Amino acid sequence: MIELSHLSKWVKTGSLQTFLLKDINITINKGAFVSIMGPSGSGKSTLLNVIGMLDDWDEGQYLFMGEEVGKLKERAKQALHKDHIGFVFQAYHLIDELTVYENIETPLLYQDIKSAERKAIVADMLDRFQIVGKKDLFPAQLSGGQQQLVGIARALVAKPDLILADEPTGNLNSKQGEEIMEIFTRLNKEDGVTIIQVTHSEKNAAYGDRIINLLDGRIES
Amino acid sequence: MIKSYLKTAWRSLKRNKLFSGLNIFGLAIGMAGAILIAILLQHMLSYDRFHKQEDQLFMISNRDKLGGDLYTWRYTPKILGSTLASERPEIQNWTRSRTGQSFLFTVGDQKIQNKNGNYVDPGFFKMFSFPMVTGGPNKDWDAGTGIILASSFAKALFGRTDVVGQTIKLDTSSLVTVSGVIKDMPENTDLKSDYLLSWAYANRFGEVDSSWGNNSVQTYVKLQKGTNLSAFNQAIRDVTKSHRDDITTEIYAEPLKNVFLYSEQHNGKFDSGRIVVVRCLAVIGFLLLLIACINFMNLSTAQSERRAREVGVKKVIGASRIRLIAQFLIESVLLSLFAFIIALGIVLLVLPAFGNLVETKLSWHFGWTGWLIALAVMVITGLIAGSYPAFYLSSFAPVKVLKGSFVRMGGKISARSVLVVLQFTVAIILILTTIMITQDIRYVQNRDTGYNQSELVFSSLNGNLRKNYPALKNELLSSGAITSMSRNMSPITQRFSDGWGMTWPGSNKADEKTDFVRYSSDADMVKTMGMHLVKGRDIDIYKYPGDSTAMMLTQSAVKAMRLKNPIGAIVGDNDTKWHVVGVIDDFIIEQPFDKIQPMVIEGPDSWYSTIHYRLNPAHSVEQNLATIKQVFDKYNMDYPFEYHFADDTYATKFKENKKLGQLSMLFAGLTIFISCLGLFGLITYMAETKTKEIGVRKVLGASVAGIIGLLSKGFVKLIIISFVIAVPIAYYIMHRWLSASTYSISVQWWWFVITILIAVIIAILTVSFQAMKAARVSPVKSLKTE
Repeated sequence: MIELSHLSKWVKTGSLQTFLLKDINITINKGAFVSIMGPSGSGKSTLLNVIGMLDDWDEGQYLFMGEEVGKLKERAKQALHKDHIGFVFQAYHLIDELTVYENIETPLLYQDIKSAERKAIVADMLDRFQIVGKKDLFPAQLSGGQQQLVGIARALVAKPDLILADEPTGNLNSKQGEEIMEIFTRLNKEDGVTIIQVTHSEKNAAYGDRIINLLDGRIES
Repeated sequence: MIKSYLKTAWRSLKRNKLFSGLNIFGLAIGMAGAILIAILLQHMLSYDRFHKQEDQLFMISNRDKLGGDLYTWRYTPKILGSTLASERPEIQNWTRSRTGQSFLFTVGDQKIQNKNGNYVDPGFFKMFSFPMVTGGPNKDWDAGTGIILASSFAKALFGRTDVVGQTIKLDTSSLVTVSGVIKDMPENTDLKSDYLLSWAYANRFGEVDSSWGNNSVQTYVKLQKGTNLSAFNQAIRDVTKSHRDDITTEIYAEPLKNVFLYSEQHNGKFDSGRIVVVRCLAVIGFLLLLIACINFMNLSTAQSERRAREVGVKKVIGASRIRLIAQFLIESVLLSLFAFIIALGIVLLVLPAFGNLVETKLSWHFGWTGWLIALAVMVITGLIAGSYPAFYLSSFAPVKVLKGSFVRMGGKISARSVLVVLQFTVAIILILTTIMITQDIRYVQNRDTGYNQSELVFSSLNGNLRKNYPALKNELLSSGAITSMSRNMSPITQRFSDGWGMTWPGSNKADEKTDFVRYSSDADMVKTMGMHLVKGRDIDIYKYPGDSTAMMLTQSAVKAMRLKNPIGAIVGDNDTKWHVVGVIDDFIIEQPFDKIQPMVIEGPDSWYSTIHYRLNPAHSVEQNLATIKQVFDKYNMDYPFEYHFADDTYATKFKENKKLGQLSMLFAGLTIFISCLGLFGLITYMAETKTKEIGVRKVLGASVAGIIGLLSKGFVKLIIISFVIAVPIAYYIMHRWLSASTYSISVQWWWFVITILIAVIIAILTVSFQAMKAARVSPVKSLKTE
């Protein structure tokens, strides 16, 4: 599904070239559950953003479902990522002005799905995450764990093949973190969703079936 | 989708109440100002445009060379209308008009003096669209024994409008019957009058002459449909000349719709006047709206920090840029709609007051096209105002926003700074023009009028006063209420007559075109008015019987006539030989803003309309007036005692300019207010983006005052830049304005000092509140977020 070969990204300050990612080679197959680990500044998030097509790189090749991402136009990239990728953030990034229901519904709006169908899909999501009772609340009225549930529901609502999670449990306590990890595992096992998560925690990383360790922009193991 | 946009928009409005409030309110104020101006403009542009045959109606004007310059004016000889009509087949109807006729109306015990009458010809009713309520011009009216009343005046006289056939006494003796009642004329016509008399009526009292040299009426014609105006003008050009050889005046027709707007002439062409006001107002209205839009953009982009995350998230979950742009545009149109509704409310509330200010009864009749235009303007305003934030916000890169590494634009406020500079440039120009207009008025008000206005009173010489004048004068003087009294041609504040073609010792052919103002006196004018006698003596027919043809000259007249020894010179005017007995200093009779024209004051062989008298300072004004009223009532029973103070009447000459000054002040105030809202938004934004910097500085030991200074400094710089841009523009405007009148103040350097002080102080006041708030935040709080 994802194939990075000799991928590098750098920033230049004067004559000094600092690598954010250096010569990354990874292949991630469909249905994998990958955890990316590494100390602060090792390039975890940068790698995730490159995979999520939110960020550019300077050298190397990125194949996503067989397509060469580097050669795609902005529009095509946007379409790819709209149809296939869901994001989960450490800070949840829910839209404050929208209710739980509406937050989950938003991606469907951008996919031009009809109203009746939207309702069914969102209702299904609410059900699945057991947040039906909270559907009319605004994000500020929820606990961190609940907000992250909504964030995941929103990431999943458009039925993506790939979930990219950037420290999804970073702002949660350990019990809430465990719940989220269990949801990820279920998604991965039962629905076959590919999951790539960035994490600091060994324990959470262990939920995945593969761990990539980054240090100074290189893959250590 | 739209529903979701609206929902987000609405909630985001509610969330940021302060910003939304400032945004909507600023826009509403701007819109309200623009709507008020639009209503005023609509009123001005609608003058005499409602007549059904409007495109066939024309006014005849004169054009001639006087004193080397080409002049055009709209008063024509009385005989012109009928002559033209008989010579030119294109003329279907014609009428003369002379508004401002004044009569005392008596119906039973009811007595009303009404100064809004007009003499017209029968063609009037076939040309203009003034519908009749009952009756109409009949034989009586044509013969000069009938009158047509406006319905409200009919009500004032009779208490009802079905009064055809009723008799009214005009002045002391003449009886007329009511021929018809006409619907009250609208405000937007130059012909507005309360009653219409036929020229035949004027003829009965010998007021009609067939002179080609006496320009005293306005002449309107209705031309056949499709008449070529320039061909017609070619054909009528020499009509006046063809009837009298010694006149070089040419005539031409101009469309009625131009008459109101093009009220001032330059070099023989009506090309300015009210149209300039219309243009100025249109520009001000546009600027006001523009400033409100700028404000909107500023406040919206200042909120970008708060909304950047929303944009980032939406982009990540699949929103395209177009959709985000659409969302922001819909949001701003929605805001603009709210603002529009509030603006309508404001307009409804202040329209009567605004009408008072401009002294016009303004009403709100937009019609569906007007509403459509208003709606379009509103949507366009929303789109323009929303465009910058829409394109700016939607361009955020999601990674940067969401990772918190979003570059805060503390240093990148350039676009917004430009907007603020633009706002304040306009505001500063308006402040300067306001100062200029008010200072100019004050300067001209302080101009030496050449006579003493205080306790100088005048009354009309009407009814039996003409006959009883000597008795009236004697009794008033002996009563001690007045110290002096004089009969004159016109009130001291108004000229009734001027003319050229006078002769004097040494005058030549070229001097025939020198125009002199005429005035008249029987005796004691110098004493009564408090004028300054330079040479010779005052006219006094009681002391010097030969003074019926005596004349006094003003200094300007002596200069214009190049007389070395004016006393004893013989001046010829209107076939009368006047001998000069005295010279007085110039005095202002017309416009205080204009150059004083040379003037001749003629003795009793001329004519009188006004009595001037000086109150005795030994008694109170009330006492004096009470005594005077008794004497007037005794000698002039039919007329109510009316009096005017010279200083009050003189003050009305400044009305137009004062009005402009007030309007300019009003709009300057609005502009400043809106600009301050924008400034407030910007400082709030800046304080927000600099929270961390402020925190760090405080930890490092900066004082609150130091931080306020840091935040305010940039804004003061912006104001100064605005000032530098505004000064040359304002200087140009002021120079143009002041050079339009001959007596005016010159541009003063301290106006600029005051203006920059006002602008900076207002800006600092606006900014300091938020700056103070930001500077007081504990650094523990502001640094925790990172």
